Formats: sequence, structure tokens, C-alpha cells
Amino acid sequence: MSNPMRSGEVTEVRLDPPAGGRDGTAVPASARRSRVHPYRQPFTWWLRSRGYLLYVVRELTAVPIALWFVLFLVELARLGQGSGGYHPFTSPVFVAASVVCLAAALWHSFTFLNLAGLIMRIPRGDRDLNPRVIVGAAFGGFLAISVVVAGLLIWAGA
Amino acid sequence: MTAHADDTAAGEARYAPRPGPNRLQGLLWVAFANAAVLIALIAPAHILVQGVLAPLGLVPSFDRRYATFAAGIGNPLVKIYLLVVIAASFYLAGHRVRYVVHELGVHGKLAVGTVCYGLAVLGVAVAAYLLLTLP
Amino acid sequence: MDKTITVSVMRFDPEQDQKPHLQPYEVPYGEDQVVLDALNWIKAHVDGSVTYRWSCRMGICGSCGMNVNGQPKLGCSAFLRDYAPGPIVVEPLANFPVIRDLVIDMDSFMEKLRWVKPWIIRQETALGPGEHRQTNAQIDRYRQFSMCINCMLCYSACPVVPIEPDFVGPAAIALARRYDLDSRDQAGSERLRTLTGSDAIWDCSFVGECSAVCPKGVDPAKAIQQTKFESTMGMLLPWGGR
Repeated sequence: MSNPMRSGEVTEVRLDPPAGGRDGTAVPASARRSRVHPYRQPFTWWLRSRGYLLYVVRELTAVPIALWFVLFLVELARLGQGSGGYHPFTSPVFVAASVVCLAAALWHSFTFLNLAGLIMRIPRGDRDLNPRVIVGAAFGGFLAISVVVAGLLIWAGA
Repeated sequence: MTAHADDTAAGEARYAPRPGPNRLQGLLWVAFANAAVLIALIAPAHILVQGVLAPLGLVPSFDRRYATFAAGIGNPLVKIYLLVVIAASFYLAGHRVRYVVHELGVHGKLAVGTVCYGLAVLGVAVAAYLLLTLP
Repeated sequence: MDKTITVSVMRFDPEQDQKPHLQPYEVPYGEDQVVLDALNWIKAHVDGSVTYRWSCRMGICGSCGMNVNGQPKLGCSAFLRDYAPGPIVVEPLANFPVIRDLVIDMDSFMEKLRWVKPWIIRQETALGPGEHRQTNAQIDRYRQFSMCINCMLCYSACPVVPIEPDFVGPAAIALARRYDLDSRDQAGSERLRTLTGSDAIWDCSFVGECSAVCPKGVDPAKAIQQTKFESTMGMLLPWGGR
């Protein structure tokens, strides 16, 4: 099959885009736009929308939860002082702090278990399992496990 | 793909991250996802009973005396369970704080990551020490 | 006296301006007018130098992405009545360098799209025994992620994009997942392995704003989290590898 490009009448053929023109047009790099204004993300970006703020709150719920367990470790450390020195937390300040940590833990549970339905794709034959079913199961599991754990804590000592 | 000169007029280099898989980040994420699920399921119950109901005296059967607590902690299964839960909560905080701090403007991903995960590991070490040596 | 509304447009002339500045215009107000109409009116009647991208004016080409009162929107889908009595501040999409006025440099976006290899990859190269067949159920698996119009609103909403050059971004990952889930595609684990390289997807912390601003309901946040989940399943379960 004869190649028309090699017929001899065409002396110069450009098969590749010329240097500098990535889209194929013959524009050298130096002739393109002179200056772009760079973008700098402001430090207050997270205040610009409700979604951003909720995100930061959601992420920071991990901190009170961890701090509560630090308090638990403090209580645990008191065991080292023997039966005379050990005393559990009783002050209203501790209760108030626990309420805050509980709110953080509940918000974490609510947001994360909702996301579980989004993330997990469980194929059932042709279709996937409805994400609402997955989320419902997650919340159901949460309630059941909470009851079990609370029950064990409350009555295990008896 | 035809070869041509890099266009740097806008200061953009070709997008070319390192070839994957990035096992470290994948592992860090899996650990986070599992820790988050565990904490989501059991943390509220613990905090409610131990932090609110018990100090308020609302669950008298939850014995807060030394002997009962020490006996509970003495059980190796309890030790392991508590270590896992505490490790999960510290890791969850470390992982999430690392991302938030970085996104709020603190540059130096390696430094931020080392500090955040390092603190979490430190906390777990302390918890392990306490749980294994007490009562 | 016809009703008007103030539309302040961010102007930047790279040859004259040191930095961008807002320029207010009084634009005739209409209940059915959108921001793109306002820009076209400004260009036709007041200031022909106003520069912006647009094409279909009906929300399908993805050209007219811009920040309207701080929120990434399609100019053709942002009704003036939703911002009345105004003023409306129109700025270029966030997170991108600005070439001129509302036109941003989208080279990085194009690079990232290309990097995920957004095409069917199969063993054979010829059509062979005929067309590829797909059931509706097979199409439904990836249909949502195929709706992307490349408008870049998700990149503009993502707080990670401007601080992490290695992050490949929401639309690119959704596109990669679209091909991953396509029954005709055979690149499966190879595409996934490429995708989970470096910090291409791991910089995402699930802020979720990308999905919130997507005009087509693509839900790139879901695509990213599913990719994270499915790429790590293989690490944990020996039989979980794709």
C-alpha cells in the first residue's frame, strides 16, 4: 500500500506535535501565557462552609474520646496505691467532663456508622445491598453492643 | 505517547506520584477504619456507665471499690480487651489529628505524622505498662 | 426603573495587575437569569474584557465553573434570585492558579485525569467476536460515577487539593472507579495498584465537600472511600485481592 506521505511531492511532514504545543498546535512554550496568579489556601478555609466546620468537629471528636481513656488510665494507676490509696473519680467536674466526652463519642459513632453504609459495597447477585440496610444494621449493632457492654460493666461485679 | 518538551509556562510539572501500592498509607488507613468502628461501637457505653452513671451513684451494682476493680483488672482477658480499646482510641486520635493539623496549615507531613503517631504509640506503651503490672 | 443587582467580578490582567481585584457591576435582574447571563451582559454592554469560560449554558459541558459567594458552582446553574438582593461576588474556582479574570489553569486537572487511564483496557485490541454486551445491572454498577462532566467544582471544594500536589483528586478517582466497575474493563488490579500509589488517594480525609458541590450527583467521596476500602481488603484477606 503506497503511503501518500512518501509521494515525493510533500517535502516536509509534521507527524508529531511540535515541541512546546502539547495540544498539537504550533505554539512554542515561550509564547504562551505570561504569568499566572498562584492560589494560596487561607488558614480559615474551614470556616467558609457548614460542611467544612462539621468535618473539623467530626475529626476532633477523637480527642475527647482519647482524653477520657487517659483519665481511665489515671484511675487505673491509682490501683498501684493499694486499697488504701485507691479511690475512683467522684467529682462533678469528672462527670461534666465525661458528659462532654460522651457527646463526642456519640457524634463519632453517629457519623462513622453512617459512613460505613457508604463505603461498603456488598454485591448480592446482580445488585448491591441497599446502603440503607447496611447503615441500619450498623446502628442496630451499635445499640445491641452498647447494651451488652453496659450490662457487663454494671452487673459483672455483682 | 509522542515526546515533546515539558511545558512549564504555568509552573506545572507532569503529575507523576510514585508508583504504588503504598502499603504504609494503606495500613495506616485500615488500622484507622477498624479502630474507628470499634470505638464507635463500644466507647459510648463505657463512658456512659463509668463516667456518668457510676460517679452519680445511679448504678449501685457497678462496684467501684478497690477489691472489685482490682479483681476485674487482674483478669487477663480484661487486660487484653482494655488494651485493645485504649490503643484504638489513642490511634484514632493520632490519625485524625494528624490529618486535621496538616490541613489546617501545619506543613511537614513527615514531622506531623511522626509526632501524632508517636504520641499515640507512647500512650499505648503507658497503657500496656499499667495494665500488665497492675494491680 | 428596572431592577438591578450588583455583581462583583474578580478581575486579573496578568500584564497589568499585580494581584486580582473585585470590580462591581450593576446588572439587570431577572427571576430566570443566572450568573452566566449576568457575565454575558457585562461583557456585551459594559466591559468586553471580562474573560470567562462557558459553552452549553445548561449544566452539561462543565466549562463555567466559578466561585459564587464563596461556593463553587456552575455559572449557568446559579440563579440570581437565589442571591438576591445581592451583591453577588463571582471569583475564579478556588485551588487553581488564575490565568486571567475567571479563567483558571486546569493543566494539573487534565494531567490527573490522564494519569488514571480513563479508558477501557482489555486483552484483545480488535473488536473480535462483536460488540461488548452489558446488562442494565452491570451498567448500574458504574453509572453514577460516569456522570462526571469534568467541571472541577469538586477540586475547588476539596481542602486537600491546594496543599497536596500528589493528591490525584475526587473526579480522577471517581473516574478510575467508573472504569474499575465497568465489566468491560480488564485492568482491575493494575489500575487499583497505580491508583493507590504514593499519596494519590490517601491524602483524602473524607471531608465530603466534593460530593456536596457536585452538580451531577457523582458522589466522588463515596468513590474514594470505596477505593480505599477495596484496595486494602487485599492486604488483610488473602482471598480479598482483586
